[in-house]
Amino acid sequence: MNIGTRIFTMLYGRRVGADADGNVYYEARRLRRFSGQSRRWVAYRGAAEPSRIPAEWHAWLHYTTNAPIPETARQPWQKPHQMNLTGTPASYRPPGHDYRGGHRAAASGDYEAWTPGS
Amino acid sequence: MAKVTVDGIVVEVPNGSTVLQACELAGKEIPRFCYHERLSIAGNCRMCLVEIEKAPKPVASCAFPVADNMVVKTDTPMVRNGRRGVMEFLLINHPLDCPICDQGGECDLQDQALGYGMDHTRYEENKRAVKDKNLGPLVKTVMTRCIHCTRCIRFVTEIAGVPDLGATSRGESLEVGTYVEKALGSELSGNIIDLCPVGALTSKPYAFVARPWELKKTDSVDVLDAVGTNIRIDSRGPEVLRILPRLNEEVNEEWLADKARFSMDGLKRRRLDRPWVRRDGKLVQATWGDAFTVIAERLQGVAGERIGALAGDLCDAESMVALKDLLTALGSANLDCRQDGVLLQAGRRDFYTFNSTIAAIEEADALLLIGTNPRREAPVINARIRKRWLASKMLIGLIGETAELTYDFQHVGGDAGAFDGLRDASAGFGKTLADANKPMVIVGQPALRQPGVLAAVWELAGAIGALAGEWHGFNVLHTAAARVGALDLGFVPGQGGRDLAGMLNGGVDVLWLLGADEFDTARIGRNTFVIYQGHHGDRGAARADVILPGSAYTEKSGTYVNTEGRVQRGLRAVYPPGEAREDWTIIRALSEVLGKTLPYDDLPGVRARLEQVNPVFGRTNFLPRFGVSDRSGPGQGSGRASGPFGVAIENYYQTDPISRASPTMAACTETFATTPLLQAAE
Ligand code: SF4
Ligand code: FES
Repeated sequence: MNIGTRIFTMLYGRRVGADADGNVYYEARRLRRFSGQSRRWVAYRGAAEPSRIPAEWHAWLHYTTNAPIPETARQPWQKPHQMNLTGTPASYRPPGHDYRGGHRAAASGDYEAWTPGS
Repeated sequence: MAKVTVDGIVVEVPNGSTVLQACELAGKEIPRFCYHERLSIAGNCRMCLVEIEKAPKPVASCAFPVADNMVVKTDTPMVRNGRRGVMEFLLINHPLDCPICDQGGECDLQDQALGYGMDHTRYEENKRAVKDKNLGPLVKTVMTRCIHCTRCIRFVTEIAGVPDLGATSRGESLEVGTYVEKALGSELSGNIIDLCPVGALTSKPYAFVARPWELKKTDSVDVLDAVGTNIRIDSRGPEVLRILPRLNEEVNEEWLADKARFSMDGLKRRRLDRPWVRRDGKLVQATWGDAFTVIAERLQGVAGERIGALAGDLCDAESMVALKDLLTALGSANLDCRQDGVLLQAGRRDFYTFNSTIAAIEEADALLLIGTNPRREAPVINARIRKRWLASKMLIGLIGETAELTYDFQHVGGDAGAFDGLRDASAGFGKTLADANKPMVIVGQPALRQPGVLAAVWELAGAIGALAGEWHGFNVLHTAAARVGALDLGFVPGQGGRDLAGMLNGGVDVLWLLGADEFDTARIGRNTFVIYQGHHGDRGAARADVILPGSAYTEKSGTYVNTEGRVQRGLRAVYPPGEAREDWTIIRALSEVLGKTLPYDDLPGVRARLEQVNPVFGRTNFLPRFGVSDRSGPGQGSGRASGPFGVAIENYYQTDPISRASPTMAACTETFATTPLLQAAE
């Protein structure tokens, strides 16, 4: 959070909660003049990376729900939230990618080479 | 001739033609499902409706004969409404499964529904469902899609000549199938896949493999028999996915034999994709440079007459001429292309070609088959013979092993001894031949293995009047696609050269096998150094000391000469796998290493050389009809013909390295090994 946001948050913000990742969510104490809604924002823990916001808070942040969905209400089939890993070393690499050994699975266009004795 | 007006265009058509033919002549396309030029007329789909002036109702043009001064309209509201109605009826029971149908994209019903289909259905009842039939390993059926055009039934009974397919019940419950479950016992069965206007009959090996618009289409020539069938190779990326026939009225009409159509999966198995060199008794992988060095070292100091070369059955003319030139440069005349030991000589062309031409079978009025089973050696030619037999009841005689052919024939004898009996023009089949205007003799490879048969058959042909100034009735039916080309190039022992038998058993020190796999490699001498150049690891590669990976017929632009002597060119559809190269370039590259550089380095250069060796290579896709100008026969040779001729092809489905590597052909062998068709000839 840079200094400007910090002062703005101190002056107008009210803490609503924090997610498991440590990001803190705020909303303005006063309603906006025309929309009648209060402004909502997030203070990231660490670098600002929007994809780290879990679905529950994402919904609230974008005014889809009025109140944040409790993270405890998760279903057993829901996977834990994961940020977008593109561009990081942990990003997805398809099978056969050079960083995964470079051995792709057989494709229909492949031929079978002859070896002696076969 | 009848004068017919089609949409204001006046055309003249022969009496007895159909209205549909008149419309085609006028350039009007008539939608159709059941009509096919080469099949009998069924007239049961009603899609070809047109309006004829003074007729109260629209008429089915495919089954309606023309009359003089007829006025036909092909595009009136009445016609369009009629066709729309027919289409609606057809779609009542046709499933809407185009997304999972292999015919999608090349389906007549799809195309015509675009023009005459309704945008919604008025039909609310359940659709009909039909059980799929098992027609063997080649043709897949989804019988619910059948629209009962009966093209498949007509093809199988009329052209393929086996009574296997038929219809049971009638009306909505009509079903097309083999009456009891059995595989279609025809070598032309794949053609019903092309004929079926919907996706009821599709190719089993190609099921769910590709869509037609993904495929690259390349014109080529089939090499799995000697007919030279014109084909189209459909490929995607590095892979040949299917092979379809191309129209050529003079060779294959529009048919293609099953082996040529379905054995392309053999092109992906047992491929030679890198050079191999034998070191300490074991073949090890090598680079091109290594392989060439090994060959160059081995050839050092070997005299020319101790080097020999054998050309195989699938070779293109380019590679053969290059190899011949290389061997000549090395001082060797030991060349042979006759792996099966037939006694044909290079030289006069009409002693080894199918002189009458395939199309002229339709003019012949008596036919004598000698030591040949065209049904297995050349199914497409067999279909022509059947066509002629159906049209004119041409009388057919057979000398040699009897077989189940698709027409009636008279068995004249089993061996060369039967020739004398045929000279008797007063009785028996000899009389038939003598009475015929255009008698035809077809002699097969097994007969030509016996000494003196070629001369005897030529003489017999002369005696029955098959050698006339206008009609050349002497025909040799080959089984190897490369054979006529090789003979044209003189790929036979030159002055003082050794033939196949002379080169085996240590007759030469270095033996070059250019795709030669069809002889017993155990007969090669133990100390002979064998260079195998080819595309499949088959008998030859297993015995080789150096393996040079070449390309299969789909992977090179090659020139082939079919049994008629027709020069045809195939284009490259895909690239050869791995390190493999086009065959003539390998020989050209090696010649440089050996210090005997061949004087051509591109394809036009080799082709100019071909033409120089034999001018027939100068004209492709062209074959003049000719009579006999010189009636003197080939030399008698020594030895006497004796014993039965034997058969050329034991198992139709596996005759060469490609079909032996093909799983589909293996499945066919398994299915058909037990049918009477193969038993009869074994
Ligand atoms: S299977 Fe195909 S070719 Fe045969 S009758 Fe049905 S639609 Fe016609
Ligand atoms: S094409 Fe004329 S009725 Fe089928």
